[in-house]
Amino acid sequence: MADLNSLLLEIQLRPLSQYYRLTKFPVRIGRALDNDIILSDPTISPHHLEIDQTEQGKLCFRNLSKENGSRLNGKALTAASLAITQPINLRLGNRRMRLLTTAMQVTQTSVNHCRGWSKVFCYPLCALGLVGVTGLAFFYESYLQSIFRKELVYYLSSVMPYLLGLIALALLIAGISRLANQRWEFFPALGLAALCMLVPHLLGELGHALNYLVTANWPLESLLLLSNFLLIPLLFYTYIRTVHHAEPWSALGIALLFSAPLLVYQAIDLTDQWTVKHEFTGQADFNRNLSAWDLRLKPTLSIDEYFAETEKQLVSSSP
Amino acid sequence: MIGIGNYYYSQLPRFSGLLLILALLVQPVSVQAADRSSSLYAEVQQSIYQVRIINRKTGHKRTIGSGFVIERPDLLVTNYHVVSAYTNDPEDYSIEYLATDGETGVLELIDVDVLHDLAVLVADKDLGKPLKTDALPEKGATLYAFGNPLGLGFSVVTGTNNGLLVESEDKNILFSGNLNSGMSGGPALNEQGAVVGVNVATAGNAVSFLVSSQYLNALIAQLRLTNFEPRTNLHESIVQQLKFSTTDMLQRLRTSPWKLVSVGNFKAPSRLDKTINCWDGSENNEDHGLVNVIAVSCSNEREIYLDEKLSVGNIQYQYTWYDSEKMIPPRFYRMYEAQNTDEAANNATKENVKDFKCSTNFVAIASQDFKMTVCRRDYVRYQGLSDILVTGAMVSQKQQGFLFELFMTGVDFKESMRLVKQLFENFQWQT
Repeated sequence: MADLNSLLLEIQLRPLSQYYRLTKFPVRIGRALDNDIILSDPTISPHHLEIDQTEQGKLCFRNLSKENGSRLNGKALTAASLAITQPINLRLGNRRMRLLTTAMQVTQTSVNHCRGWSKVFCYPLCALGLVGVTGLAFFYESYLQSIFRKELVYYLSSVMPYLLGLIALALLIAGISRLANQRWEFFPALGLAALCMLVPHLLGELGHALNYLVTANWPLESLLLLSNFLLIPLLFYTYIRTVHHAEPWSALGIALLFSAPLLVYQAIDLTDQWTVKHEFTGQADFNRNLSAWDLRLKPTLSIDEYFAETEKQLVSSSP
Repeated sequence: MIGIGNYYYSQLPRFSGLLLILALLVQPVSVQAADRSSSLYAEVQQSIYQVRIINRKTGHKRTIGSGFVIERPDLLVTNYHVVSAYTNDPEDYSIEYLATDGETGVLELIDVDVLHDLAVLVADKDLGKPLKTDALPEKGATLYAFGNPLGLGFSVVTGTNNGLLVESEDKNILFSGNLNSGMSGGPALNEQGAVVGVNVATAGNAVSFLVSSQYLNALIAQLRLTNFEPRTNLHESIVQQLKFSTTDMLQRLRTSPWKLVSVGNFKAPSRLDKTINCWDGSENNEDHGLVNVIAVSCSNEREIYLDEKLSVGNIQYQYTWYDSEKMIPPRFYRMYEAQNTDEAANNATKENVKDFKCSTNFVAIASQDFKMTVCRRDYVRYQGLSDILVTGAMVSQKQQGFLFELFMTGVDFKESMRLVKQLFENFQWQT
């Protein structure tokens, strides 16, 4: 049984929670100024909750709030008593708090505790490297797309809008992180922004190569589907886990919340594509990709073999 | 669509240079001609009618053309394209005639020749004196085309015979006179008042086309055998005519001697026969920067009219060569891939054709590897006919590319593959 003199009430606030040591009972919590603990939260009643101790050493809770109510370990509370062997979760109005004893363990966290590919969010050099790689990738892309002889500055100038977008995205992410964390975490945000731009581009290139390899359109289509719907939530999840040290479920929730507009946009786009796909276009649908490296699974046929194969596919499949 | 072949307009841009020259050369109207045209008009006006397709639902005309009495007092000839709405949907449409004096009556369709765009109709009463046919006079002779342009009233257009277009598939007569919509199916007469051609199409600026009377004679001769009984299996007959014609065309193209032309490092067949017309499509370096582009495109420039949204009998193909030693392979291929699109989709609708089915494989043609696709889409109402798209790109060179594209409409799949195979076998690679 816990020593009641070592009891703490934790009011959960961001970025740092408040702690009250409970030394005398009963303790009354509320918004009125005659309470033992005063909480100026509008969802808390003037007199909201009373905590007392029983003769058996248990704690007994009594809800005093008619309008906003209290919850004890997730259940609506009128009056209850229980022993404190683990943290007791309370909710008064919309305000969360916990009852703890000083003897309770807290979990270890480490700011530099990075594993696997989430390292890019920990080391500034990684983030800068990613920005560099992203810049180079878009520079190369711009070079490939042009069919004219151009000065170097032409390709550089076509990369600039991407860098502008990257920095703007990084500042947005860092700014939101700053609001939640109360500290600047710019490099992880820069790394995240770079990945948001670089990975879809690389997946596109990979899909193109796979398309040519198997002579079909499905590899690129499925990679784009993955990239459009999974990539951003996954990157956000890893970022929130690493930088904000959030629990898995809450990290997932926040990642989905922030990617929701993008996901809805992609869903609209996808339904449009499906609609178009099911309409008659009069266009032939086949894989038109070409690749300088000519890496493919299909063999080169002789003209006779080619026409035998073509007839096999096009004559038998039609009535 | 009103009467005369609007479908010719789609080919206009390509001919525009040619058209201008012809328009300047031809001065069709002469004083004597004007005198003869007024006497001819009086002679034949009893034999010329407006043919109109009536929508049974509204009772109003949908298509108008012209027609004239031939062979028997109750038989009328017009163009197939004038009555195609009826042949495609006899439930919803009917055919009527309108005389110069305003009298109207019902017509029944006997038979058609879709290849030469002719239709023969029968009325329930005698319409007038049948016109005689005659062979084409010498080049430069004056011809008088009769019809009802835009439904404005019966008119005569004087123009010049510029001979049979022997190099074309249609073998129509080039008539230098201003035919207009609504005159389709009207007769073009010589000085003696005999029919030498049937008005069929115009490319504007006094460039017009007539169906030669020899095809009309052939159709009439054939109908004599059945005593002009209306054909019961008209649709099957149309399908047979088309299938015979396009198969005949493919076989003729295969067996005629081919001439190879250089397109970059390739030598490829250009004009498969004299009905095929080729154009240079090379682009200058200002548009293409570091890439050198050589292109040849060929076509038989033929469209057999079936309905407003479907015409067949066309074959077109093109070769395009790309090379650039100044571009690294990935950069060259980025450009090359962007060019690998087909432009050959016609305006067919899902009522007419099914979806394309395609097969892509790699094939060695003239020692080079090609990524080659064959697509076919079958016709919904014309059983056994398909559109065939063959398109491919050379993939075995790092800084050189060669695109091949071939599009045929309304052909038999297996017959078309024989031609394509023979084409591939005739390609040559020269280093």
